[in-house]
Amino acid sequence: MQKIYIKGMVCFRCISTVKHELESIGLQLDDISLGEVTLSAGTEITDLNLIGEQLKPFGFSLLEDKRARLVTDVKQLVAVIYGGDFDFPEPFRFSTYISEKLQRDYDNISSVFSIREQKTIEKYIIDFRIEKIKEYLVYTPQTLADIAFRLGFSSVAHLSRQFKTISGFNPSYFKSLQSDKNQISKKILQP
Amino acid sequence: MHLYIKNMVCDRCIMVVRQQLDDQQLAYKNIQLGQVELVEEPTPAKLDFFRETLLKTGFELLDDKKTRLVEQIKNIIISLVQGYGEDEFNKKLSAILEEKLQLDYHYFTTLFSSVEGVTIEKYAILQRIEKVKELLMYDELSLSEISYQLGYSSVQHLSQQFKKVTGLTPSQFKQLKENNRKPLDKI
Repeated sequence: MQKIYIKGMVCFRCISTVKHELESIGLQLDDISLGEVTLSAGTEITDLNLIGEQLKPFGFSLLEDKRARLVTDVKQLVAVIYGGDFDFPEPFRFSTYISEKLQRDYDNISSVFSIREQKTIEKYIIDFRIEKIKEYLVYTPQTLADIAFRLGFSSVAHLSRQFKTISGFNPSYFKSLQSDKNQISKKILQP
Repeated sequence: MHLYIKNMVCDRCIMVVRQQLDDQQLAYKNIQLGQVELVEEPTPAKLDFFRETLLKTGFELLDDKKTRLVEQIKNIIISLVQGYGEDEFNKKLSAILEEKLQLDYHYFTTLFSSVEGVTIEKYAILQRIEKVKELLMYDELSLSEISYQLGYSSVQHLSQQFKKVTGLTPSQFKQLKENNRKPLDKI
């Protein structure tokens, strides 16, 4: 049983309009109430965009749509900020920056993100940064201090500690591990 | 000629009424919440037929002058709360109503109470709470944003009023699984 959430429904006429429109594109409804449509078992939504387009002229919009978009927006911003080439202003707080960019209250952004992703934004950022560090350690000759600066860590110590708690290695060990691996694979390749 | 229609609350209601007018070839100049301006006076038979089709879609044609006024008041409040019009909550409700209706507040408030059984103020509160419920369900705005949008002086005021009307705090309401919203014309 799949549910669709619709924004803008306030009365019985809205219900009958939505019902009519959804049935006209071949969906079978089990139940419909203000803001909520339950599809019958067996009916599958092939294209959410199509439904959105169908309802748009009547002043309705799909809710999931907006939330999903918010989550992708947040992820994109994280990728920009912690992508390695971001010029961190001083003082920098992710929460204020993002709520300014998205023009929304941070509480709200954060709760929508956590519910959909099963992970808080902060945790997502940490994981994202750790992956970045791994990438830099393995593929570039940059020092830890460089990496810490690029990714907006306040100090090398902070970076190392976080890296160790998440991955279990300390950064230099991780680096040596990788170069060992590389040498081994080179040896295998060159008989 | 003006016709007054009961239970119109949103753009879809306007669309439905327009559709019916078109179907029955009644020419109109203007449709808004609760009111249709016809180009010419329809024959009684046509009017009766229109009245019946309206009833089927849950509307009602109003003849009585007093119920018309009550409906007008409701429509003004609904447009205000739903944000259909330009008006905002910067003035007192009584001032807005007086200005729009060009009548004495004392007159229509006693009329409204006697016809509806609730006061205008209470009705406006119920409409606002319903809007709060709607916005809470969308989960897009925080409570403080909602309270600002609906003209509450503070979040505390909103929470208190919400609890008084629904028996639940806004966050308790959010956690409820089932859908507890009411159609606006049933308030």
